[in-house]
Amino acid sequence: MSNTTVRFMQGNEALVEGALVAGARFFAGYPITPASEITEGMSARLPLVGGVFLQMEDEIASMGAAIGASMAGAKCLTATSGPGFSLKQEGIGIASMMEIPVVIVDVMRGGPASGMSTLPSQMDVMQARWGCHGDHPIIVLSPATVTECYELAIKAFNLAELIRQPVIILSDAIVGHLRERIELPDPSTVKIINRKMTDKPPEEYAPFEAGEDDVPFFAERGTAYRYHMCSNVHTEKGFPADTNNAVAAKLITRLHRKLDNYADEITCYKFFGAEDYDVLITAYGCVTRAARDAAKALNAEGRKVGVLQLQSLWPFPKAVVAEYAAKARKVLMPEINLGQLIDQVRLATDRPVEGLNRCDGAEIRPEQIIEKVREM
Amino acid sequence: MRNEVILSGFGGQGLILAGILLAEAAVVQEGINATQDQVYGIAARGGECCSEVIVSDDEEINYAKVNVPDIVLSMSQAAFNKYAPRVKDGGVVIVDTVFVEDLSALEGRDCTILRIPITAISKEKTGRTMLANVTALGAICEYTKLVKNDNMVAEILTRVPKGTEEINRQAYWGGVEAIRALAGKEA
Repeated sequence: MSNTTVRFMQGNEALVEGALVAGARFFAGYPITPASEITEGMSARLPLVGGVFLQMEDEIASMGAAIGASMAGAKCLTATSGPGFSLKQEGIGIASMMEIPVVIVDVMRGGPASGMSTLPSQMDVMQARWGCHGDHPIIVLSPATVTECYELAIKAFNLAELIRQPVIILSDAIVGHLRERIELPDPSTVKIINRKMTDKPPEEYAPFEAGEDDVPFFAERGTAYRYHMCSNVHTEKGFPADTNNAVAAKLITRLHRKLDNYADEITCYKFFGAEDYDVLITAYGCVTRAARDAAKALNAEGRKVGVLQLQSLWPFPKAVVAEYAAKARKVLMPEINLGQLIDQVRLATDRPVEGLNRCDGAEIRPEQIIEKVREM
Repeated sequence: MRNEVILSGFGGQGLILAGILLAEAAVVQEGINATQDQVYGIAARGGECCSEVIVSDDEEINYAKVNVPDIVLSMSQAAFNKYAPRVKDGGVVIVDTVFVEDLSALEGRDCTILRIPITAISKEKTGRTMLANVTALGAICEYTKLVKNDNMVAEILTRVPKGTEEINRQAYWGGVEAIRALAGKEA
């Protein structure tokens, strides 16, 4: 049996712990509420494990630094909130196109613009998917508890390395700042995935020649391997080919196929409540907590309510939602925005889907969900 | 049993830390569930401050905002006026009489009000007002039994700077004694 340690920790702190266990050894960022504890934690911890912490002049530079350090071989993290997340979008697109593993945390606060700097929201869900231009693939994970901040940080790094892909952790001001119990496993028992290295000799190596899983291999930097990277549409050798239709089609479809190949590894969700539910609540992030309390109270009074918590938001787990929604008479999607992920739920099911939304910087309370379900 | 606690006062009194310590002691020392959150605004030393703690020995804690607290600590008049009226019927409000004089906000309410000169006790026991948050923890734990005194002290000692262990103990037990003295008066 492995040893675990019970700790009392904040979501942002747990995310730092998870990142370090996953092997993060580089952080570049610029502090911003409500993500600053991640920057603070990495600044204190990275030097102790031989890592590098850089506070950059802004979020654009932070993203660039993280991409560069990842290309040089380090597992990299950057963290921000909405305004900074907007600035990082260009870099996220570059990482996606050049297949650079990097983990980006957005601890969501109220928006738009500088919005409500200390209050929670879930307003960046569509931005996480489509914030940068072009047909780019993206992976987005969303924690609802302090333990999930730790677990999903590890999962984010593993997926980033496995698929050579930027991975976004979409946390929020509630989960980021809340302190609660966490049972930390012995780090030696945690499954860690590292990037695939080529076994070809330098003269045969092409940096964007993919393996059977559509993921290309890395080569060790500073050795005889020649490496060219380019954010234009590029050949397997990494040189621009942005007027070549065939190369463009092959590259862009492969970028998406990589995620399809690993759909099972990416998709994660949890179910709570009555197995024979009549109403299904689909939730993610902090709202999951209120949804669970609401379902518990409703089930105690004889209603049949289930909660499907989506931990992976993008690629949207359409098949999972379809399967769970099919067993319900109606679906409720509470979100701290004016309705973002609800459209994806509607696309996944023919069951009626109702929203419960607020955008005033306050949490959705269990009582609100209970009241809404009673009307359904 | 689930207990919701609000520790309120002004920035600089160490109430966020007190909330963390209370919940941390419950989790780490007692092995039960607890959460801590704070009203996180653009505040500074002297501004309003509120730390929210939920302790539960039998169920998981999902939604972690405190709406109707069982226990309210008020260490400033403004915080008393704002948070004490939210106390549950039959709940308890602990006020630091050094800062809270006007109790009219609770007039007619069904709750227990414990009037303790928390900051003065800290000053008397340790020579500093700075440990009033620790004295407050002593009062809270002695009255509510949310966390056993020995466990609370053990947790406090994991966090305090070396060399301050003894004054922290003194500050804590000062709060405990104040509650015992009140109980003695009632009996």
